[in-house]
Amino acid sequence: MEQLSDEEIDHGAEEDSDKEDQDLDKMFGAWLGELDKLTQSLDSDKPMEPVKRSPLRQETNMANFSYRFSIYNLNEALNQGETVDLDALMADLCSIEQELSSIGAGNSKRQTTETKATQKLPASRHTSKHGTLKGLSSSSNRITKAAHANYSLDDITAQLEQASLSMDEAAQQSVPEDTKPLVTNQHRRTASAGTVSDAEVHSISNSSRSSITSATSSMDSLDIDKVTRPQELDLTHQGQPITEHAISLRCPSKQAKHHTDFTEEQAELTPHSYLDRETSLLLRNIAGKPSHLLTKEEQAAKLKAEKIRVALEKIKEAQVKKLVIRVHMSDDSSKTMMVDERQTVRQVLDNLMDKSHCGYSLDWSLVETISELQMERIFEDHENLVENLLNWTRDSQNKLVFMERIEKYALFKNPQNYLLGKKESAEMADRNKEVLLEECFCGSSVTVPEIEGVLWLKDDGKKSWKKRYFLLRASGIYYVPKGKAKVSRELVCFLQLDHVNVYYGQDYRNKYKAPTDYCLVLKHPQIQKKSQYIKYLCCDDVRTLHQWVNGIRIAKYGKQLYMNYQEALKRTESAYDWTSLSSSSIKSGSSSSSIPESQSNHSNQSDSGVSDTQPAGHVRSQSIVSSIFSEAWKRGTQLEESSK
Amino acid sequence: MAGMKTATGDYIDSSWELRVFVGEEDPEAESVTLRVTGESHIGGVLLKIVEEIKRKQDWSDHAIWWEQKRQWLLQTHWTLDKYGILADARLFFGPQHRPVILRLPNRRALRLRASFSQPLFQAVAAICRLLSIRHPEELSLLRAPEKKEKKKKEKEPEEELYDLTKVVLAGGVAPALFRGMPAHFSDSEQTEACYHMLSRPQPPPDPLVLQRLPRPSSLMDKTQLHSRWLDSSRCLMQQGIKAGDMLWLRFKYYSFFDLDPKTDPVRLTQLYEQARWDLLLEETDCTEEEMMVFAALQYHINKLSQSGEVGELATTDPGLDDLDAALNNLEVKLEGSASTDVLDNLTTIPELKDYLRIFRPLPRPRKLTLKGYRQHWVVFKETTLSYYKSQEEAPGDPIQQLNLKGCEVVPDVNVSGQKFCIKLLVPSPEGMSEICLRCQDEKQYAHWMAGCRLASKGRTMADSSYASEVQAILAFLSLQRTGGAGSGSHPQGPDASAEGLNPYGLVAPRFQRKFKAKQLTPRILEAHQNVAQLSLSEAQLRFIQAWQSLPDFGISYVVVRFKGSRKDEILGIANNRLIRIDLAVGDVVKTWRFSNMRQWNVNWDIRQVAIEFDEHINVAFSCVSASCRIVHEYIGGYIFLSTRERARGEELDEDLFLQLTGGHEAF
Repeated sequence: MEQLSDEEIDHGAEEDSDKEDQDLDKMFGAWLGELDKLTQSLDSDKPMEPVKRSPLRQETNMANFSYRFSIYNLNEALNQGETVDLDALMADLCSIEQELSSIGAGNSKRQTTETKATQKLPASRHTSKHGTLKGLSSSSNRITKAAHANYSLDDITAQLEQASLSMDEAAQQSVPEDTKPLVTNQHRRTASAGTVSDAEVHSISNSSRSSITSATSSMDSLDIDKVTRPQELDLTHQGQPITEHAISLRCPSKQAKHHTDFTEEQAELTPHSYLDRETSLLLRNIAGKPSHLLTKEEQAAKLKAEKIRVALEKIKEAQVKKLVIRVHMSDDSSKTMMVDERQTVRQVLDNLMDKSHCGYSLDWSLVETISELQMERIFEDHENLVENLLNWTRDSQNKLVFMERIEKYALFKNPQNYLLGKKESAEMADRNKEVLLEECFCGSSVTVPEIEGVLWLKDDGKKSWKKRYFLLRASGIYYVPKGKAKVSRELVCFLQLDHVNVYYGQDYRNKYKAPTDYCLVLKHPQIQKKSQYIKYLCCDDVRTLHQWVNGIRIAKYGKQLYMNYQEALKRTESAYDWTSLSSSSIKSGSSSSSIPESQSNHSNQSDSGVSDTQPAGHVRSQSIVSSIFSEAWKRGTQLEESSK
Repeated sequence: MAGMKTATGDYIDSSWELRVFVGEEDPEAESVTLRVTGESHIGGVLLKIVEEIKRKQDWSDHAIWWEQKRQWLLQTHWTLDKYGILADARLFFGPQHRPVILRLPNRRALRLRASFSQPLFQAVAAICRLLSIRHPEELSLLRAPEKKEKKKKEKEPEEELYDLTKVVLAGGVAPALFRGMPAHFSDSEQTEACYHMLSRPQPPPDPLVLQRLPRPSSLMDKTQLHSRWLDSSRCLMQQGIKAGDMLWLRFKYYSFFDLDPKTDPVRLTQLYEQARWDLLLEETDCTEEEMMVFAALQYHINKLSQSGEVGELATTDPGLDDLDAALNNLEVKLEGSASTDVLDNLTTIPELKDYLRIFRPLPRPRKLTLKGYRQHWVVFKETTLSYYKSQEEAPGDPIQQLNLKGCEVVPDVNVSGQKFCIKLLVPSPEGMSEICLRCQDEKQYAHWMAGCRLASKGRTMADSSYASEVQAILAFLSLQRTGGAGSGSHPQGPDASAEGLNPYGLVAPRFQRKFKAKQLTPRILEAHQNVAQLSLSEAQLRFIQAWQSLPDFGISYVVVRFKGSRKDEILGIANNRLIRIDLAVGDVVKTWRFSNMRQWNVNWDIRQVAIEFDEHINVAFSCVSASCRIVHEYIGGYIFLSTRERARGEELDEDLFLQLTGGHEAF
């Protein structure tokens, strides 16, 4: 029970943790710079391998990008000190564990079976956790011993592995019981542990230098054949100095958190996250020296570093790219999850809906907000999430928000407001809506709604806006030049839509002196900073804004948009089927404009008692947000009507 | 039988003499005189006529046409009384199928036998069956415009006339495929050639001819065409068409059901041709950018059909396609993971390095900097392009490094001018950076261009498609070189345009006036880049889809006068709506959708169409430029076509069509 008491003690230290994390973050950033420099110096120091050098360097940059990226996101999540859902991480860790265990030596089997047995007894979770911990601490003891006593290398490697394995297991077991303060406490403590171990390194390196370095090399040989697991996690694992393992074992709650913490520590200590402290210290020493002055040992270390690096790059290349992402909920909480590069937004949404027990609704969306440019966009369901997120810069302030957005599929719920090019909103019988949608989307080509009218266009680089008459066509957005007639042949192409996405601008009245707040932005998804290549348009009212945005979506995505909708509808309906809830809610979802309220009430009912983690405010805030939106919509249309 | 006589030769029954001319409405034709009574059946009369003629011939297609009533006497069990035929009736005993010359959507002429006795709807269906065009309900016939008397006697070049009059189609069954074409085409060389004409796109027209062809200059002009549609519920004979007349076959209703490149080569090609001419003759307006895409597609389609890559039509096995797709998938996957073998590829990752001239346009606002192209040492590796001041400085930091993934690659090539430039528009978090690479020769250009194109898709030059891409670019350049003469400012007729790229045959004449050929060529090539991978039928489909997504697509214009209005207006009829358009300005005044329509009525006496929509909206107008029958038929036709969705695969409901489009016969 030693571990439990540790946790209790740490409760008090919660407040400080955030500050420290920020510092760590800075250091992490500094380290990244250092890493680059070091990599460069490494390269230039090694003229004997000219062939390998350049490609490697480039790969490092590329591969590290996603790596850093995910670490960053996770850090960010941790820094906020909120309840973090690490289910996805745990699932991945679990799979790693299985792979490892198939490779691992016989003695690791004992551990695995033990933990497996505990898994079978979910009712007695608490005791089983305790049991695992015991096993863990025993193994960790052994490791510490081994390190000092210069045991055989294989033995050490096996044990290291085993230790990390069981850590995963333990962490997994303990997740449900985790509480918020606990998390941050441990976080802080491991950080301090890092500094301690820093001091210890020297003594260890004296006694068992060769054993550790060769341990790392054997680890690297183990790693090479692993293809499918997320590199960032297992790498940090394996690269851990022994002492840290021992410490971390005492606080077995949130395994993933440890990983990141460790990386951060390493950020201060070693320039190569995948090297052991020993080798990297050596490397740091050699960094400045010309190669002929290096000692044998140093040269060996350098070679090793090189080898490991090659191996790691290889692994990274082979792997399916995975990102640890942080998804903000509409109630200011957030969830952390892992997505791989093959997942579509639809899959991630399904995942999130399952996890957050928010009820199934068509309106759940993933929204990308680019705070620097004050714009946001609802990801389309067919889009690839990782691809989009990789467009973000490393230090990006962008956020991914999971929330209900009525405008996502408003187009299909009330197509008459979008497809007919009319100025006023109208009611339409459901049958006619279907006919209209079929006409628009199910023909041999998609009919892009005829949208045209005066919009404000922001001047490049200035805060002035000019009126222009714009038209939407399937081939792009056009405008009528001054003094010309509104016929096809006179139109000037403003933008073609292949390479741009459409975003909603936020509060541009303040930021850019826009005439109204109903702004839309067109930009290449890779552009993240202010640029002349971003085009800003401003509409007179919210209705026009939505017509344009949806028109552009139709022109850009065509039938895919409708397929997305139908797919979403199917999911929603099947979800309602098995929860055996009344079908009336589905109906309201597809026709009336008061869906968000009814839907969120709905999710309230279905959620009650199921999820404790979800704050009650969550649901409330959704309905508030959506009702605000529909209110605004109504007001907008009323204004429109009254002004006539 | 009729014709009982007394000894004096007086007829004692109520029989009378009936004179029937033999032949096609020719008063000089031989005639036979029969003795009939009012109770004689038409069948009996036919038999007597044949007996009288005493000629051995297949008379099975012959029937009696009653000239005054403009009516065929097709009910053989009806009596003369029932038809109301008296001795003064002018009757002609002639064939029901007569040759006509059809002007196809691809503007080629074809002679075939059409039914002159069936309602036009059925006649068109039979023609389409012969030509193997599915969904004949979408097509109809127009009268050819009257030829204006030409003052200067220009000798029209003798036009090749394809002849299908001898081809007889076995009724009932769908024509079987033989040697990649319907069996009835494979009888002789002539018919085979005819099928090729039908199923393969035609080369671009001679720009000079194109310029001379009449084009509508206003909405008013666009209404002219629609006054010529024939009535689908009556037969050709009733509409005054004579044997040997020229008729136009066109897609009338712009609602193309279930276009399938596999089963519809002729239909797809003819539809493409109609779309192409529609755009070239500016019947449907489009923007400059759209025209470039259309031109690029035409160029591509022409290139494919010239090089005889029609073989794709022969692959009829759908299983093979799936296999292809699977193989493609596999290839993609392998390519995706191919780059993982870092160690193996370490020494073999192909890279390009060379001295190239680079030009970097400054970001706007562009000042007058006359920095032209500058020589740089450029290294292109993976998907990254780096350039240095010189080769010696290459190990150091490059002046700039660009990752080309997701960038736009635009060729800027003039073969005759020996200009080989690659324009790159590279996105980055800060914005876009533009850069132009100028290569020395074709070979260098092809390699770098292929690398850039692959890199923009995130692939490296290690990709298997690299070599073929290089070859394609080289082939493309050589094509331009041979066609270099044709792409000059003086187009040299269709022969030159068939080979290389003569942009003037691909765009509407107004662009011929606006741009020089050498201005058009790069723009078309730029657009071509996006479609270069398409197969022939894919390209045709893409063309049709792009045509369909034009805002003005598929609107048939008629001049009408709305009830209560004093001026003429235009009524546009599309497949889902009616549009009221201001005649002078061309603005849309009001749109009514068919889905809201309750009913429509035609008052044939005052030529007025009255339509009732939901919520008691009533619209009434009289037709000015075309008969109200044409408007009525359009509306009914579109409503008929919209019912097809539900009845997929069922036989054509001809009665419903005639019910919806006919009606006036009942009065």
